This record gives sequence, structure tokens and C-alpha cells, in this order.
Amino acid sequence: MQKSFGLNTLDRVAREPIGYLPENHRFPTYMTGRGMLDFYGALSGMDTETRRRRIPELLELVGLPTWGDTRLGKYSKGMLQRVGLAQALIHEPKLLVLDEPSDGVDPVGRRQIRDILEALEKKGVTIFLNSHLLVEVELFCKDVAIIHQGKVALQGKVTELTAGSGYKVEAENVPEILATELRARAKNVAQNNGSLAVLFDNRDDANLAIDLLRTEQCPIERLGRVNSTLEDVFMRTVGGK
Amino acid sequence: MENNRVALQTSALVVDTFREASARKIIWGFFGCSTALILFFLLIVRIDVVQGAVATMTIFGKTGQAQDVEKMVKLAHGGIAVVLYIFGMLLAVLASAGLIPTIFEPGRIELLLSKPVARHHILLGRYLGNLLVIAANIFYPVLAIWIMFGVKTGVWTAGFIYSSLLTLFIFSVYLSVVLLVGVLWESAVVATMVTFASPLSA
Repeated sequence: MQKSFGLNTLDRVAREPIGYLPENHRFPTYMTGRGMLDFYGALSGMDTETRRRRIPELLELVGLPTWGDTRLGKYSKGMLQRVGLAQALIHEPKLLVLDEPSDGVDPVGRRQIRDILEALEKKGVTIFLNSHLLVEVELFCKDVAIIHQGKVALQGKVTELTAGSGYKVEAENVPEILATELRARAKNVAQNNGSLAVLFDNRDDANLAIDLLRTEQCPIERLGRVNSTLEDVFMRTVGGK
Repeated sequence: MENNRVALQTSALVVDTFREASARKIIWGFFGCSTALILFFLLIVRIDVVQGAVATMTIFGKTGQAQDVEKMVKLAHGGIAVVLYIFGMLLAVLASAGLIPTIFEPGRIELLLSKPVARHHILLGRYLGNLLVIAANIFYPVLAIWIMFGVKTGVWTAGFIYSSLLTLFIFSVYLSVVLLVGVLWESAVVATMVTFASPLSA
């Protein structure tokens, strides 16, 4: 039996503390933004007075304060996502489940959604975000789970999963003999307009490269630890390159 | 508290059904047909009553023989009730078949199911809303025609009103079939076909 907050998920009470925004949601286009929020607020058991107070607050929060009386059929995809988020927040849930909330939203809107979610997270709301936009996930989430072929293939903190990919040293005017020696130790090498960027697996190799470059008096342009992106982690996990 | 919540959710589902029926022009379609029917009777039926008997009754410009007023009105009521039953039922089932399965559309049902409302409550709320949409559209012409005949003849028989209640009851049975088929197949076309076929199989 699936359980939510200790209750059977089929029990309506189990759904009370949950706000949900599905992927490819379809709000009735005959409703206005305000009407839609009122409808789902009423279904959530909110009384008229509370809904009347809460709806303008939410429209303001998602950046649609003047769109409340416009039919949803006239909303853009990004606006529908934002009003959808307002719908999920209408009853002030403790757990927010969002499926691709940034889908179709412009960069400004994405930033706005991220800011809203961060503010909610600070208030103690648990947010479960499902997305293929891994950059968004990396920017917002603290814990991630990668699901592959219906099973959790990897799970952990974003900072831990993306940490320790290597050490990158970038220098100019590197003599060919030294470049060959560095290539032999490097994990990855990129050459561009007289600049050589070398990625090492470990700190010892990076230190040795710095010593050699300094001996040859090659100007070092950049130096630092490189993290994996979540996309790298994802690709490694699902067996891609 | 719990009763208030149930009432609140039910009224939201009912109002939503009315909104959708209005947006789909179902209410306005019925309203137009009913108004046309009322105007039709208002314009073509001319009754002159003399001392409790219908002296003349004119329809389509043809004048009939004088009859007992009450008998004549009951006959007219009966004819109209039959017309309303057959055509009204046909229109009501066609209109309702589209209203029920829409809530099962992908992207819409997920939103409804995520709310703290029992599944049967969502269905029954939609059912009730649909029934009330049709009830409004049955009672509007029936009451208007009943009042029209009453004012013109002074005969206020309740049978015509009861016939509309019976029509609504029969419709509620058909709507149950629409609902069942809508749940099973999520198709307005199949819901219509099965509903019309169900009296034949019975």
C-alpha cells in the first residue's frame, strides 16, 4: 500500500498537505486565472473568505497580478506554468510536488519560479521537483535521485555527486615537448589560440604540471578544481558518454 | 466542519459544470431552443374561453371545435410533454455525453485527483452539476408553457409539472449510463452510443 504522511494515498486526508503541478497539465480554458484558483481552492476545502484573501496574494507572487480576470485560453505556456504553480500553492501545502515546472517558461520566469521555490523552502516546505532540465535541478535542489529504467540508479547530495571531477590548469606559450609530457598525464586536453588547457584527475599531477610550467616560465592563465555538472553525473549514471 | 467542506467541494464541482456547459454553449443552445418553443406556442396558440369552455382554439390559423377547457389544456400539455421528453432527452444526452468524459482528459484528471476530494465525490459532483444543468433547461420551457396556458385558460393542472419531474428522473437514469461509460471508456461518442442503445437492450 502506498502511503503519504502515514496514510493510504487513496485517503483524501493524505492529500491535504500536498500541492501538485503535473507535467502537461490542462486547465479548463473557459476559466479565468482567478476562477481556476478559486475552483481548486474550494476543492482543497478552503472557505470563501480565505480564498478571496489568498488568490490575489498568489497572483502577485507568480507575477500575474493583472491577469486574474483573463481566460486561461489566452495565457502563454509560461504563464500557465506560473498560474499552475499558484494552483499548487493555493492551500499552503507542506509538500510540493512539481513535474517539469520550468517547462516552456522564459529565463526571467524560470528565475522567478526558482526564487519562489527558494522562499518556500526557507519557510519549511518540502519540494519534490521532477525535471529533465538538469541545470535547473542543479541550481535549486539539494538532494537528487536519478531514475533510470524505472529504478533509482543514483541518489545523493548535489554537492557530493558533482564534486571532484578533476583539476584544470590553463597556460600560454607551452613548448611542444612540455605539452606532450602534460598530455601523457592528463585526463583531457584542449588547445586554443596558443593556450593549453589541461584537466588532471588528481592534485599531484596538477601540482607537477604547475612546477613544470613555472620552470619553463609559461604564464598560467587559470588554475582550479573542476566539478562535474549534474548532466555529467546523469550521463555517467545512465551509461551515456 | 466536515459537512461544510463536502458542501463547499460539491458546490465548486456543480458551478464548474455550469461554467463548462456555458462555455460549450450547451446552456445557451438549450435556452435558445426552449425560448423558440415558448415563443412558438405563445404566437400560434390563440384560445378564447367562454364560460368554462373553449369557444375557439386556433393553431396555425385553423380553428378547432369548442371543447372542455381542462381537457383541451391537458391534451396540449400531454403533447408538449411527449415532444419535450423525446427531443429534450435526445439533446440532453448528447450534451451530457460531452460534459462527463472531459474531466478524464489527461492533464485535467491529475489535478482533480491531487486535491483532497474522494474520487466518487468528484464523479457525483459532476453528475449533480450535469443533472442541474439539464433540470434548469427542462423546467424553463415547462414552467413558461404551463404559466402561458394557465394565464390564457385559467387551468393550472399539476400533471404537466409532474411530467417534467418524471422526464428529469428518466434523464438521471440515462446520465448514470453516460457516467458509467464515461468512466470506463472516457469517450463522449461511446457514452452517447451506449446510452441510446441501453433502452433497446433493456
